[in-house]
Amino acid sequence: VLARCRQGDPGAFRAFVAYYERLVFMVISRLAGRGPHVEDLSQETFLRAARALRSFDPQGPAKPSSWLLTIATRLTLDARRRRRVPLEPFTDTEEFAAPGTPETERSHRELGRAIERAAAALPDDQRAVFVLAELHGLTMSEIAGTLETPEATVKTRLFRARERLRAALAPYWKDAKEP
Amino acid sequence: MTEPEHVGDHVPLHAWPFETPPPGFAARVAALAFPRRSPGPAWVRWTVFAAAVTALVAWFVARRDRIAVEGEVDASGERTSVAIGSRGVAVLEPGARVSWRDGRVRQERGEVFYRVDPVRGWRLLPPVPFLVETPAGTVRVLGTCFRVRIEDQQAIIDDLEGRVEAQGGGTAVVLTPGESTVLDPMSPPASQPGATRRTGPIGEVDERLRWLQRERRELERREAELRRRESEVKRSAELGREGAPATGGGAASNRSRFDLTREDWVELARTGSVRFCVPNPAADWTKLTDLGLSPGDAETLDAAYARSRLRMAESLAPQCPEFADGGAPSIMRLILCAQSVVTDAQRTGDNLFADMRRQVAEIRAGLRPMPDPVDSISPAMRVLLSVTAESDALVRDLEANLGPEQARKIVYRDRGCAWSGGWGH
Repeated sequence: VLARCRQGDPGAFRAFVAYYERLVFMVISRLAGRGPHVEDLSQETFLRAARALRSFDPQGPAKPSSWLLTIATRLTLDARRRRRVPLEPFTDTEEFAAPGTPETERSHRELGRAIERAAAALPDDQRAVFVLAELHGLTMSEIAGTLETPEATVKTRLFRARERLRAALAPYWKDAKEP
Repeated sequence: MTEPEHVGDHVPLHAWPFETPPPGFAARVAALAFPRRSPGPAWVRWTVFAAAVTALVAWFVARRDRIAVEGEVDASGERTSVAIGSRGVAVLEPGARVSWRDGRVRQERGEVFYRVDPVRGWRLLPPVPFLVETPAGTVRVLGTCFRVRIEDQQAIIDDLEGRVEAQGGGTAVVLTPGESTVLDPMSPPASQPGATRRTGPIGEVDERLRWLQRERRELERREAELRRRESEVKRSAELGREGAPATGGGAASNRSRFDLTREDWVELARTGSVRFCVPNPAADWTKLTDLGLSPGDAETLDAAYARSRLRMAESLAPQCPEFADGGAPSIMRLILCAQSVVTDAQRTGDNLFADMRRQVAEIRAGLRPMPDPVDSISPAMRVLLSVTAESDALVRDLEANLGPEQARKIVYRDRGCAWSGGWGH
């Protein structure tokens, strides 16, 4: 598919987007919060990827997903620096207005909101490292390359992010599962 | 620093909500990333578009006068104007009828003025010729003003502007402005000079002038005819006089009509008419040589004319009250007096005056004796006797010195009469 995308095949690129759109939406939502800006940033991410397809080497060390996450992360952080996007979690009233929700679903959503609020309280650079490392499994070196930051700095940011989230999510904290 | 545990090991991070892609997101992004391939840069597209538009316009212009148009008009009651095709206008006079298809016009009757715009500029296709077909022939034109009038199976073509070609009888003639021709099925056309016809008020003036010219030509023709007849009558009269010289009451060709013989007076008496010439004493004798005289004859002439004026005064003054106190009235005053006397007589009664004329003519012809001076005769009668006698009296006076022929030539010369004329038939 990537080869056809590099040749300018719209159909192949549409398949590429469909395959990775959820990933991009996810990382942007968690870096910049939910809202209409997610779709805008996601679209811009794929458009930049399309323009950069010719320079992307499928045989190289970077996977397409990592490559897209790099683009999305840089784009989102840049937008955040330029104050083009908000980072304000939805209120409970909006989220749980519907009556009759099953209990498990309700608790799941409450947890999600808690995570969201805790992440929103993190600085952008710590949140980015946390999201990339914890949710998308990027290595320290990959994150360092993505954020163009030294690996040591990445580790420090990740450490602090985990500490703050553990404190913030203490009511939901559970012991590690048995392997 | 102890590395904190993975948060995900203790908290289900998948519960962290996120936005999901809307339906059609992938297709929309793909369309934005790879828009439909355009045929080239914008300037290329605009150039192609402009070329296409230009070609379309050129094609339309080229085909414009080839677009099929047809119709017919019958100007039954009033002047009618109609557009024919893209470059023709026809103005039909009442009674005219035309029908057309494309640039081919069929004029069946009446008078029609045509204005056809010339074909200008470059054309992809040759222009359609503008033709006017008549029962007598065809008129071909490529931009001009002309008039076609159909009369009695003939077509009269007047070219007003530009050139037209009139075809008929197997031949053709090219008309230039101001020329006209007649298409007749029985004869080939020929160009004839004509008046350039214009429209509007100037055209009306032109039409009026043409009418006057036609009238003038007709009058000239009639005048020539009358002159011809007059000459024939004169010739006949001269032939008749040569056969009977003493009759007719007129003068010979080399004689004045007032130089009357006895026979002339007989004829005048028969018709009850008189003619007279009162000699003009105020003559200019500077051109005596023209009369065949010498300068020395001037004194003789002056004396004779003085005596003539005295005779006139002696005979006419008694008829006029204004001369009762005597004196020497001028010849003109005497003539005015005589005219008033005669006019009074004419008013008194035409039969009486006619009888006077006949008696005077008979006296001059020797058919009646001269009345005695003491006889009771009317003033008008005396005037008639005086004016009809004086020219002959002057001739006799001059004969003694100049001879009879010269005397008559002088007395009856052109402008030799101060008062001349006649009464009666």
